[in-house]
Amino acid sequence: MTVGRFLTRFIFIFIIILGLAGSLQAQHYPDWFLNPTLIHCIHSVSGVAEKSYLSDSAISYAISNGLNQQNINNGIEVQAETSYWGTEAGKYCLWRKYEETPCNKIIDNQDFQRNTKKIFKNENLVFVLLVDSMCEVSEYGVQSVDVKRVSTPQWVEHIPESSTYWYAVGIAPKYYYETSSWSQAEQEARKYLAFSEGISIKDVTKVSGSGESKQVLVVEVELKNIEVVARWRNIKNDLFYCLLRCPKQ
Amino acid sequence: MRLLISFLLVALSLMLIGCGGSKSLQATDTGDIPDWFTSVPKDPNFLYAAKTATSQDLQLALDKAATDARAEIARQVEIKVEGLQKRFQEETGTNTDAQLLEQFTQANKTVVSTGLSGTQITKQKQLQDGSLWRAYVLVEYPVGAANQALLQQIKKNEQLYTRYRATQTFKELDDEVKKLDDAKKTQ
Repeated sequence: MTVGRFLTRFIFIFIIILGLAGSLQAQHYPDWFLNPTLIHCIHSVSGVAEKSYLSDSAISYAISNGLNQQNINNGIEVQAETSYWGTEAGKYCLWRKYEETPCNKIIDNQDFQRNTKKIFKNENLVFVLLVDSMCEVSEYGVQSVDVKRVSTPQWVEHIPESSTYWYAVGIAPKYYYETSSWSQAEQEARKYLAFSEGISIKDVTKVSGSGESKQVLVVEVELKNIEVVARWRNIKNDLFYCLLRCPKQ
Repeated sequence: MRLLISFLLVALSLMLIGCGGSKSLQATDTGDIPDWFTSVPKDPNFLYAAKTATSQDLQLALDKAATDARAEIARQVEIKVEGLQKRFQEETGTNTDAQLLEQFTQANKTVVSTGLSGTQITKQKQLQDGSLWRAYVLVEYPVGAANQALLQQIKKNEQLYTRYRATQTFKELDDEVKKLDDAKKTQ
């Protein structure tokens, strides 16, 4: 075999492997990120950040993200207003306003900061698990999960119900930064929790004959002790899901 | 040389297909309409509303459908409370008492506008319909919560309370709410 033929074959096989590698690339996440309830701690939170050139700065960002998340989960005030105009041709959004303000403006959680229990890195992201000092994290919960191999969780379509908790699922599309997608999914879920807890109707008008209608819904509520129950990523449609719950007030 | 070029072209095509495969995100989802949308659940203890909406923005599609479903629940609550109002009037013979009618209508409005806290999306599905997202949602509302809200409004108004508290309809309403409270306590 001449050197030329050998090189040709080598290049051919190499390029095929390179091409297939792109399609077969796994999407790994730590199981404590996808299923936080595996961590049997009252106070635990996951922080996530995009990978950066300096590994330490990505971890710092992830810790900061986790602390922010914990602050939001402790309690937020939600103010929202949505208005839709329905016609024969379809329903149109007139305006949508959603604002959430953490009840505690200052993030002061040294206890959490000192207890970064686990760090996980996948292809794009850095994850950290923060727990309080009272919490002992078991060895279970260090597995990585390839979301391509995870079948659709039941909660994605059938949202859990309970007499003591509100449950809500938030969905977000893929954004340039994956962290934005996860963050958006959580915010959407918080919005639906707020809608369950304290919604009031400002206006529901149905014009008889023309098929027109107008709906204005208002939310002013405080949510406390929000928990992330599960997360999931649908690789096929590139959607990010988050299941949250909070106690009924 | 020709062979090498052919190989390279084939390999490059495979590579591009491979790369494309990992990012074929917007494939049309031809999933069926969910069963709970075509046959909405029936339960005497709950009000249900199943709605669908489309938008290029997934979250907007979900929001539209959920808002529509909540408005539908509000209409159902209104009809239910109006039914109770008729029963009260028939029992007490106050069909022509304009002041009482006005007070009850006001109570009804308050129940419908503020009583929707407690509505929850219990089922949802999203499908891709060309460039649009189609969202299906099922919103549920416990009837007990509506009864409780109405009872609170009646009790707040002394005149309404005095006129209606001796009626059979009021007793039934009160019993239902007590059952709901007991159920909550035992949980």
